[in-house]
Amino acid sequence: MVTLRLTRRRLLRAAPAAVIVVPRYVLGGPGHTPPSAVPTRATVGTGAVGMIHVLANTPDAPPVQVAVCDVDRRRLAAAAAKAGRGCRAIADFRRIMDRTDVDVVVVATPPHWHALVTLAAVRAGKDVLCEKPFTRSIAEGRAVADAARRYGRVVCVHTMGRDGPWRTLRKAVTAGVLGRPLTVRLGPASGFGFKVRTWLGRTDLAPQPVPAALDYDFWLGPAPEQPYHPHRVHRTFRGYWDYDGGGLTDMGQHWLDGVHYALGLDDAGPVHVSADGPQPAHADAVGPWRRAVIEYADGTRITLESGEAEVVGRGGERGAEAERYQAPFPEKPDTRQTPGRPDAAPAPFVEGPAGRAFFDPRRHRLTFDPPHFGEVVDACVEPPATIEFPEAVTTRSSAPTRLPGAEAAHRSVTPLHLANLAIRLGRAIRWDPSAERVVGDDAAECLVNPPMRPPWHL
Amino acid sequence: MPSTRTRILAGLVVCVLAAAAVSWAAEADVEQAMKDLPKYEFGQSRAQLTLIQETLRAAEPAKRTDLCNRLAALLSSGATDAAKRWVCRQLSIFGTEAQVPQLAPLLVDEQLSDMARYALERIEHPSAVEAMRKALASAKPGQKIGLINSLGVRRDEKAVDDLVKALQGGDQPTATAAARALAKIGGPKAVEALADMRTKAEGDLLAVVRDAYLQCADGLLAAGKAAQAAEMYQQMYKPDLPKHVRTAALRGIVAAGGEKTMPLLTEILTGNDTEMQASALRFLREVAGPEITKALTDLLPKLPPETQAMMLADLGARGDPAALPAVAKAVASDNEAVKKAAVLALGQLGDASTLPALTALAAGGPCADEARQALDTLPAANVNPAMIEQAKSAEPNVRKEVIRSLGARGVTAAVPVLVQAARADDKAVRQEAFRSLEKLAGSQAVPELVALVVNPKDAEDRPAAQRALATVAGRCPEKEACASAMLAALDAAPADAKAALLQTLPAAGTDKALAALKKCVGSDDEKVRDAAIRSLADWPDPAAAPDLLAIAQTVEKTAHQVLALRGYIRLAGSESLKADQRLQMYKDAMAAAKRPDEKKQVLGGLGGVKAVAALEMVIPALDDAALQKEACAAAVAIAKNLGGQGKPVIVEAMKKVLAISKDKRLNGEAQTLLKKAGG
Repeated sequence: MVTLRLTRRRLLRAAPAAVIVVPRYVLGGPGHTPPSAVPTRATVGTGAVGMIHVLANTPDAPPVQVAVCDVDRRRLAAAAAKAGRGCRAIADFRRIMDRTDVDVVVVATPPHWHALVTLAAVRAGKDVLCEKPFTRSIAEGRAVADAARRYGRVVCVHTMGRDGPWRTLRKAVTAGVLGRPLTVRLGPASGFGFKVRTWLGRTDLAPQPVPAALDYDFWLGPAPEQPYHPHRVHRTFRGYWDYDGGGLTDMGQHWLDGVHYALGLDDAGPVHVSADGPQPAHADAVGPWRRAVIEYADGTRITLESGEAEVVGRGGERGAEAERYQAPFPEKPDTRQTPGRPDAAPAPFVEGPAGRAFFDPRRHRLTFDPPHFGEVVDACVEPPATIEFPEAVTTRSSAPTRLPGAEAAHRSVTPLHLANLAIRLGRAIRWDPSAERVVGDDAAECLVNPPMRPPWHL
Repeated sequence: MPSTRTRILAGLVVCVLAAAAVSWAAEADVEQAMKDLPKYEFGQSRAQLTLIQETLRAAEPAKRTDLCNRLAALLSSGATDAAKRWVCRQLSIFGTEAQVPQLAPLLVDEQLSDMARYALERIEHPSAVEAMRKALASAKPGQKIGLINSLGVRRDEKAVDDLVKALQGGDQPTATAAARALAKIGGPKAVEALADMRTKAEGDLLAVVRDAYLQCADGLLAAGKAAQAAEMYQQMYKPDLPKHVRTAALRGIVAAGGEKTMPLLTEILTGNDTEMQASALRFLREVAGPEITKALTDLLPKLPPETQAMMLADLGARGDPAALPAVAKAVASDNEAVKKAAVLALGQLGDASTLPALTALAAGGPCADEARQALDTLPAANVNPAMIEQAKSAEPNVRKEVIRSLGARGVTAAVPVLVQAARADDKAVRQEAFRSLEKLAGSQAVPELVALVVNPKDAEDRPAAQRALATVAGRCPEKEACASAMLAALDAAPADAKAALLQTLPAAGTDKALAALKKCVGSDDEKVRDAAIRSLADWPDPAAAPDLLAIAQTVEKTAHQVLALRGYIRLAGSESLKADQRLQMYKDAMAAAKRPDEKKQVLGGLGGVKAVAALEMVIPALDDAALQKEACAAAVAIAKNLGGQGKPVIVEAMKKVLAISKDKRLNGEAQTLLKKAGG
């Protein structure tokens, strides 16, 4: 795809010095945007990940980071301090959408806010870079994808990206090197971790006083009202169904988006999802799980494995007594190599009738069995070149982006949401990917579009 | 003495009574949980709540309704707020119209309004919607917004009059919610109200009203009312409106079609707003139709180069072959961006007639990469036969491009021509032929590939021929036929060719092929012997294991010893072997290993064996400084999967791991395993 501008800039890590920063609103309408223009940004959500997205403005150039937003005053102050001169600290994200000097909104809130902030930004004419997982519910993803398309906005989700081994796999799959149907295995044995234990919720949370610096009601936003406890907010919110889906959605969107891209499933969805977790699943706290199986109409089968040999509570309880599984101190994911096999994880990542692919998480590349398939794949047709988010914003090119767009990201997080539904309900889910509805299960369909607390709505 | 029949009957009675006792006990537990539920507070154990929830989930419909009714009754009792909130959550999943009367009064409750609405929004019955609609009149502002949201989600047409009033009322948050709800519901009254508010609203509300109006237009378009939708979109495409709103309107105008569409698009595409041009072309991709293609191709030459390049890309993406003449003409452009865009577009629209131009461009020049890409994506059915013809006899630079593309395109019908091309005079042509054969050839081509290995045009081609043969043999299901063809040529082949053929035998993997390999291990020729050992080490199943071990134990040349042993260790991990077989193989391998690398490989394999004996084998390695890291990882990996067996061995191993390992994560796991094993 030929792009309008032949220059590229790595916006997210660019030093703004020596370039002219001009908000695009000045240049909108008739006229050309100078090649050196850098879009201005506002970051909503300034926790650990959000702070990575907050850029430090340089004193001798117009600010790129023009606003930061958080409902925790301490975090907001820290973010504003990092951004420096020219950056406003704003407590309510809606006030950012009013501003004509903001081109891009970076959404780094907990997932239960992702869709609402992204929708507000898109409807205000902003482009969006949203953290993963894209959404907390399936209905949210459809609403955001439709709005992004309606307004012609660039919306990308900040996964690890569709390059490197994913691109190699796409070449192999498109050329039919491995044959069809394909079986994909995502788990520690094949080189992928899910941080299952890191993001366990706690089931013994007694209400605590809300810290003075935190606007807890705003933090809750659309989620049901629950008494405050520090484990429900900030770093550990992923352990609660009201805000996120645990490690399955946190890490799952990285891996599953790459798989969807490689297997040509960007417009597709599964037809059957089953999962194996302790039953009954806790109604509030995300628990451990062992395996999820996602099946597509074309015969593709994707298995997600947590690496947990037994699905137990910390006290050794199983099943109905596993209510009291406590969240340990956050750990790193288990993506170690198997000794003696330095080039790849021990289990195949993708398997087809004609061959297999293995993933090397250290070198972030694929190897094949038979080994010379690597050369065969090297010679296969290259997929369309991708562009980075900043280039998509400045050029408005239709070229595919290295990070997934709204529709693709919605499609790749949907199977993960369905897997969590299967865990929560203790049964497999049948899904109609065209209508985007659960088949024959009213209780599961209820969970596709959870109600929101006012004043929030899609 | 009771008869057999009597004993059987007695047994049955006992079983029935036992089952009933279990059921009564479970019932008693649920009853107790229901009794305790009204006192529930956040932070207490949810075990009983979980029990009730599971009972609901597993219950037959009548029983579930009864339980839901009992839960709903708590909503008007003195139960705690926490209990009532929990009840509402359950009713939102399992509730029916039977519980609406208990939920409805809570819609205006200070504490429970939202949770009651959670349940009612998801109860698929008109009475639930009616309850929410009726509550609007008495709800406080915050509650009203929630009710409006839910009525929008439920697409309640009967609520439209109330929603219009809310839209026109003075409270902005309520009006905002009403606008969104009207957008979801749609219909003439909603459209009229939103149209009116477009002229009156300000600030945030105005932005929401505009979006809602566009959503209504989208709804009309989806319902087939294109003309009405087009009218609405045209109203939103005004110069005084924000650009993103005009972009959304433009999308609608394009999608709705109509006589005003092309004049507007012409104006945009010949203007200088590049952002709108990019949007226009993107939206046009979603609309099929020869009239659009014609309008675009008529416009193409009048556009500035940058816009031409964009449009060529979109003409290609549209896939309408009617654009081919205009695109082909653009290939001759002096502007490089236009030329490249046209070449790529040819790849999406072209046919056999475009082959000469594309192959000439692919052979060299600034557009060579684009031309290759285009060759690979040419869609038409007549392209492949034309390419096969060119692959026979074109000029070498063109011939090699065509041969490459035939491989990329997956044209298996080209195999005979590729086999001939593998003996062409031109080296580059031969190399491409081998690459494409590797991708395309099937079992029928194996004898010819064997011949190419044994007797290539040039000895430098042999590695490529060997690789192609191995890949094809690996892919083919007719293993015996493949092996026969290879073995037929093996004996008479000269040493170099024999060595190459030997290295393809693992791909066939038959017993006869293995026998031939074993025989060649004893060859006097160094090349043949080396190739045989390498191939044995790559053998796909454990049948080669005994010979590999023998070689590892006896051969003098270090390279062969290492190759054979590594192959042996690899085979020890075969899933077809039982655990005790694998253990014995690892034991033999460890004894035969002279270097740390192979010992580490053994430890890696042992890590996958779920047996106490495997852990026992690893323990001595924990004392070897060169192997400690791998031994620790293997020990922990084995111990994790022993399921409580071999506790004393686990204790011994984990204590050693903790004493020597510096890996924090591993030590954490070892500590846990030690504790579980009673250490």
